[in-house]
Amino acid sequence: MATTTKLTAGIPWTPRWRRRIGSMTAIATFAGLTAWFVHAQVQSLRDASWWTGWMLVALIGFLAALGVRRKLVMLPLVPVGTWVQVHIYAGLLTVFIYFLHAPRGIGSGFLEGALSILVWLVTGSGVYGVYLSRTAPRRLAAIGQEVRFDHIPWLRTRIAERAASLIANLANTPDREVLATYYAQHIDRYVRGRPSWWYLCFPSTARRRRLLTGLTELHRYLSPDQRKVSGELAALLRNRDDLDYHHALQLRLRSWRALHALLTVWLLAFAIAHVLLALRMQGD
Amino acid sequence: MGSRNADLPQQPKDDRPHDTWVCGHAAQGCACPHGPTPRGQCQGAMGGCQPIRDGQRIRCGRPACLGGPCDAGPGADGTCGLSRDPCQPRRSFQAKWKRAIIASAIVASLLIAFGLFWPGAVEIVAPGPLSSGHRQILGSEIGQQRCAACHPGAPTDAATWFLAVRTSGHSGVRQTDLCLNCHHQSMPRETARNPHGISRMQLDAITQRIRGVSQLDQPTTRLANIARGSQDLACATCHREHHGEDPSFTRLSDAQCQTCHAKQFTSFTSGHPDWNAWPYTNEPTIRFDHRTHQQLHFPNKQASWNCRACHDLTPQGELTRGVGFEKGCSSCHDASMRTQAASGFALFQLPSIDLAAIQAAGITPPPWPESANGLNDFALPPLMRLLLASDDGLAEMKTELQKPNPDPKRVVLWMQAITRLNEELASDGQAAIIRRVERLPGTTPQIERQLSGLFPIQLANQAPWMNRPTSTAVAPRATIERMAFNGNSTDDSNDLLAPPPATTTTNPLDPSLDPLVESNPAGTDLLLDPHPLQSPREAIRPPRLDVARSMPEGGWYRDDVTLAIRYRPTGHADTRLQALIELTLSASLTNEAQEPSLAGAFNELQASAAAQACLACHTPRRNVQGDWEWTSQAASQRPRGFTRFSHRPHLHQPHLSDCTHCHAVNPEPVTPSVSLQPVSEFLSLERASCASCHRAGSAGDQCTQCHRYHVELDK
Repeated sequence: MATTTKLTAGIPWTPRWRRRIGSMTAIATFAGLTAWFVHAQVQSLRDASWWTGWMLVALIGFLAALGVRRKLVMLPLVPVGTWVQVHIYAGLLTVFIYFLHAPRGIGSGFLEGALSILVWLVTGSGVYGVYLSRTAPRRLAAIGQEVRFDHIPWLRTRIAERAASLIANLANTPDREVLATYYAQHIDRYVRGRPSWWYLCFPSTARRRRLLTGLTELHRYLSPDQRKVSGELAALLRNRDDLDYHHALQLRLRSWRALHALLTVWLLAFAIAHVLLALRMQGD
Repeated sequence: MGSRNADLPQQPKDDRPHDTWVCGHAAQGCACPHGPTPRGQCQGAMGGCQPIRDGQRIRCGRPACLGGPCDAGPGADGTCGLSRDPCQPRRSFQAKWKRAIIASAIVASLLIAFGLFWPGAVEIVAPGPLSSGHRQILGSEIGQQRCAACHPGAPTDAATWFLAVRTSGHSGVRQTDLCLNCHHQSMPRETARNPHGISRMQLDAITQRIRGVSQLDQPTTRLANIARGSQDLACATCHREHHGEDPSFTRLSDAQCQTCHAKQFTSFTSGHPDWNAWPYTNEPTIRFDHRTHQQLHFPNKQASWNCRACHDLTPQGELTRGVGFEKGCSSCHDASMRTQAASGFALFQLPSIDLAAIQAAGITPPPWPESANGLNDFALPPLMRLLLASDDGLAEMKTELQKPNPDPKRVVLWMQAITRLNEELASDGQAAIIRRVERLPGTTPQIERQLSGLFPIQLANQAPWMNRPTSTAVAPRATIERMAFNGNSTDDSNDLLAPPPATTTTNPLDPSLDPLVESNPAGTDLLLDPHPLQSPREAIRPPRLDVARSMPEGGWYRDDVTLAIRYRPTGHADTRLQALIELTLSASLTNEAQEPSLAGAFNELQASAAAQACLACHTPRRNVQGDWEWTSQAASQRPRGFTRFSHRPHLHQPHLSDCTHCHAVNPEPVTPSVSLQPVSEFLSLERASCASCHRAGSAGDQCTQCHRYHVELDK
């Protein structure tokens, strides 16, 4: 009793944790029963791969059904959020059953090897997806405004137009050239262009800091009005950088989802071929 | 966004990001409100907007993002008054994603279809390489149906993929049947699916024997035991192919062994059943008394006792079973063995027949040499008995002739059979022997060749004591007397062998019926005879051949004294004597009730000195091929038993290189066991002795280290 209390002392008994522990217990119980059954089958000189194979087919079919569920929004099925949770735990169970089905982890033939690699790629992308889906929304929410991915080019254009209009409306004073030149040489290219692939893969604030530092250094040459314009330009630069960060994270989320779905399609195709072959070639 | 960010305009809310196509001006924020057509065509040609009919009035429908209602307004016909550059609609992200998934699914399907349906792409769908023994099935270019060589359901072409297995010509064929198409020589089809590939009867016998030895209890019920007693084990139960050179293809786990085995134990050191007499369970093929040789004979000869002198190492590092007669035994045993075997065996020996008794029964005997006329002696050499046994109708003759006074008619039949054998030997020689031997049960072409080998036909057709007409001057009195004494009647008109009816009426008290008179039919005066104690048969004997002097190296010869054709063995491992023993052994295995004359042949031969010279050391055994084995077989030649042992790894251990560490001779004389189990002269090898090294983490204790699954048991 004391041990149990010690083990559970750090667990916040929120509904989420209760759900997690309950799900993990259910998965572990089912996995343990399956392992015992497979062990008994092997002990009895029977072929346990038939059982584990069909279990895998059922589990992979269920996992792939999440994509279908997302499309069928009109049906009164369980909410997608619940589906995703079950999807994650079913994925963990699938990995365990896969090890029972193929203890070596990687098949030896071309088809079997490719199927194994696909299983691991889908599993890996799934695990990464769990991490990404837990961290990326939090980061995006920390930025502030919600931006739709397909609106990013439009917003980028708006920022570029706003920056250009700020420079165009500068009063014709001698210090105008300072800000206009800096805009023409550094800011204009930044706000009109797309973020680089390097940035999309590894977003950072380096360029934003560099440009803002440059603007700050110009302050001593600017009149108060132009400093105000410089401040607006700096705000637009921050807008643009936040937009690029949105772009990078949302692109990562969408790319992961696309890749996960793509690999799942390949996995389904190879799994169907494997089932066909196994059924056709089975014998004793 | 950060607090110091600028306020951006409100994002458009009337676009349709899930459409397949989006307006090419969307990035600039001036997308058409109606967007591209579902086929991706720009509708900008219609103008800047689609004018909106509001009752009787038509007003401009240009959105605010495009500048709001234009000044010109729509035309009277309701078309837009402004012309606008058409855009190039772009696919939305969703559409691109869908296309990528569909394209990848098509590519994957094509790749799989190529592997499944193209006959040349077997390597693509094969779930891994085959083991080295099976690799040629897939690797060879012979035959197109390579998968079908092992898989009954394997489609032979793309069309048969869509047919049921039962219509593919392999209905009812199981995978194990296909395995046995190649492996039937080492594994009989009838028992291949049985545990260990042996018959149920053999399995039960072994089980009972082990139960008796190990005092096993009834097995406990476990889920794993549901396979116990299965008679339908497929090859693939243990042999999982398509894993290349993975040793698990031929390796059984301990758990798999214990699936069926009643006694389930933890390890070799803990719970493994003890053995009684292993490795001395079988009677040795060569009976060599280690104890007397070690304690008596070698010290007497002042020779050193060294195990390796006889049990040498083979090139493979194994120990030989023996060193052979010439090297190990002949120095002491050759001369005595030659002397013992010198008597050899007889191929043919004319028995002595009381012809007078036959004639007295009123029967004319067949021509019979005078020298073989005498008291009945029906004992024949074993080989001659076997040769006569192949003569039709003589099988039951043995019991008849064992009677004190056999029926003369049957004796005549027997004499005729002997005459036929003699005539065949004289006319056909070796062919006659082969012809008669091949009719005997259990014989082999090798026995026929060896037994008849080098037999000279002249020995038979030039025998002076054959084909001599018998004397007809036999006193009828003795015949009549015997007939009267035996109560036989000569009145047998139905007997074809019956001689013409006797017309002489005799008085039993007539002194002329004195047997002594009969024994001297020539009327020789006993007092005038230079050899009065010599029988008439002995009187005509030629000088006897001194075989030991004239035939020291053996061979066929004729003994005109005993009226026999004999064989003198050439020495150790004489092939003809060996073949005779094998023949009589084979004959003795026949049903004694059905073939009484055959069943006792071996026992009679065993009593002869020549046979004893062989059988004193050798115990011939039949191997699985049905041939007789006279020598200890090497481990590689012996039938595959359940237990295997290799001396090689053990001899590398310094303390085990001394043979007596495991094989200690029992210093006390061994008394024969009451049971039929052979009693070894060695002290038993205890399991604990093996278990001192064979344990997990040391020399290993896996079942398959000492036991085989596939076995060949003696027939």
